[in-house]
Amino acid sequence: MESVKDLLVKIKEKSELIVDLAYSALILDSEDMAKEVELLEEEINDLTYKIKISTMLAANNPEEAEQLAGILEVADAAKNLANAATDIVYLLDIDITMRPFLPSLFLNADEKIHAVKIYPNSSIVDRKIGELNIEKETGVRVIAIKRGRRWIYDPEDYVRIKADDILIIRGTEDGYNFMERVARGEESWD
Amino acid sequence: MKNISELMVDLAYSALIFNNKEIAEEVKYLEEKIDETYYKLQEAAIERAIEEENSAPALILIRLATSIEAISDSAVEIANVVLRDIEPHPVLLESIKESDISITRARVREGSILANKTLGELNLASETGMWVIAIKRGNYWIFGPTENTMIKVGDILLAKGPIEGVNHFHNLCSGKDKKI
Repeated sequence: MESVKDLLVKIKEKSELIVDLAYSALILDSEDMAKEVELLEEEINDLTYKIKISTMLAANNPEEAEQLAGILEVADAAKNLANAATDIVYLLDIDITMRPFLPSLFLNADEKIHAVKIYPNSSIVDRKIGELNIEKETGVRVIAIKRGRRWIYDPEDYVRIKADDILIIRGTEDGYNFMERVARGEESWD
Repeated sequence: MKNISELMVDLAYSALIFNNKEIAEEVKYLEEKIDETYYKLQEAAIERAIEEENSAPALILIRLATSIEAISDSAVEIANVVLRDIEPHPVLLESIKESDISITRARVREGSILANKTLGELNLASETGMWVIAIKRGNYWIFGPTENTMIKVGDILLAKGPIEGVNHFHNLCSGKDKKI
């Protein structure tokens, strides 16, 4: 059985991802991404359940139970957050002519979400996400990659960027502008 | 609402990791702000729907705001764990520390290049990946600082960002690293 700590790490990461993906789905009007959000919600529900079981097994006395109750609450909060994120993507079920303004609602948000297309002459083609250390270097985080008809969500460090990928990024405007220039091959990464 | 709700989630995890009641109280305070905005938005949306004789935009906005409000409620749930006078379980702290987006804090020392510059000038988020989410200055807190917020010697900065950025952030605050 996985340790409670590992389960908590997972649930925290996934609950952050699900919120980003939910907003991205709205902004990019993407049904695929909305489906991934629904899948993630199920995963998070599942994790919450596992955390509850492991936590209950760990209590030996009332004091421990009180401390462990905090873990249950955090797991529950993550579940509620996932639930709220999923409600956001259900807005895409509304007929598209009724919601033309939706993608533009978040234009003034602090951390914006953008899609960046990678051109074949970009200096980051064939390089790994981890090796580039994109988030540390630019302040933007790659939350998903669209490759052909396939999606890679929350890409791992070993994923290589390919020509024609579309990166969905979230973060600062400066970071986005830099990524856009690098993606077009107008500026070198290094 | 989106900005505040995200700040709330970050602050709630920070409150937990540092077992800090002041930060947890701020999360609750922000929840009141969110509620106020939420009610105003509902009113405005419905007024417009009546004026324009079209209910669809109002319905969409209200549903979206309801979800964002629910996200901020989850942040409050997390903050409440800290306010309950029982020290959070160590496993919670470890799990936040090991998550790929980490939260850290550091004091700005004499000689740090961050001192006497605004967050906008420093462009810390773009250059290092680390977002400053709160500053403790003497006895008071600045939550959700803006571009115009000036960093001073003695400030304690709370930041979130990739684990790879944490060391560099600490060295910038201590003055060990002189370049961003």
